[in-house]
Amino acid sequence: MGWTWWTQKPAYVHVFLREASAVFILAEVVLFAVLIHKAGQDAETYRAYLDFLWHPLMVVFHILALAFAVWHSVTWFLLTPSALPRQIAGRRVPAALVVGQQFAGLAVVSLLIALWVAWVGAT
Amino acid sequence: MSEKTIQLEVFRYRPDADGPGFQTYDVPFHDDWVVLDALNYVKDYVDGTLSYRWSCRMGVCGSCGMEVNGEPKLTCAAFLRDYLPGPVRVEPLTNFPVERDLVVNMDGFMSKLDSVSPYIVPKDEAGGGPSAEHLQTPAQLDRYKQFSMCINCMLCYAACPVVGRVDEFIGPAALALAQRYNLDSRDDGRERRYDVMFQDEGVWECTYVGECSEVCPKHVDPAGAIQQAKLSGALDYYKRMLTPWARRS
Ligand code: FES
Repeated sequence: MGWTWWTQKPAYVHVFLREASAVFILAEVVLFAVLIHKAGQDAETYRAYLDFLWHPLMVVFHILALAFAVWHSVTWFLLTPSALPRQIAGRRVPAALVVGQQFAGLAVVSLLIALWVAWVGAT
Repeated sequence: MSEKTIQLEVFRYRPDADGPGFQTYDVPFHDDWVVLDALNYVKDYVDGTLSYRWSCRMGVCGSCGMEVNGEPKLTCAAFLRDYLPGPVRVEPLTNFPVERDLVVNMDGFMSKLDSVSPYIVPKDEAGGGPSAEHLQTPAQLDRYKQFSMCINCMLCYAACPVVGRVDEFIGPAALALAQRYNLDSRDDGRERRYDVMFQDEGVWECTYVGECSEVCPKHVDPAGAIQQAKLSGALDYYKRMLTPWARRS
């Protein structure tokens, strides 16, 4: 098996894409860290950096990163039921419950962040 | 009316003849024939030199695993009708050395299987002793039953890209079986399996591609067993660190 092993089956490609999402997420974290750093500097520098983040190519990159992040979360959530013990405290846990809880958790956290951002924007 | 046929492209390798290659055979098509029936037809009526393994013909013995159109399959459960109009490419299982034609060498797999002590290790006297009766509730059975359905067909080893890249990886079936015995309330072999399961080439080598579970004809879900083993192995590690004085058998 050479280095192209991951192209041999669709399932391998899916896993590879999930792993590759780390690169995009890391890049976004770095961009965000720089944003925080720039926020501490003068308004000019901050605005210039914002313009850079809103550059059409960067927007394409953000959308791509979002797509990878969603792909990672969704495929990972769907895998978790089989990775967990069959029973908790002697009772079988339905797979749908495990998956559902994670999506619900994601929705709640996303909603809280959206509300917070809206609240900060309004004040 | 001429009889309906389907073409087989069969991988051939005879150590005593020229190098490996493919040979095509036209075999009669029947709606209820599986790939193994087609191979048996070739062996009986066309070419007696073709070598392959099979026994039960009913998905129990696990010996007829081959690659059918690039997917690991039990050939006794792979219907020709699902591959119409053909050709059907039949190859030996990937990730194994080929001995002859469709027969692979299973020595590596056997020694990996052996290394995980895949049997119930009896409890010592403190736990009731080997001769005592160890009752098991349905709930206790349910914890490991799915992982005990393995027929050692090795399809999961052929499907796993990690097996293909890391020779020493203990692999899906053996690790799932190790976890199966670890989960068995009658077993006392956890410590014995610890070093093999939790070495680098044990569960930690698995990257959860999940193809082993996809191809498993018995729905054992070895990928799930391995992730569960990772979790219990990590907990064990901390337990060992926090209670170094505890008994280790
Ligand atoms: S011949 Fe026994 S499993 Fe196929």
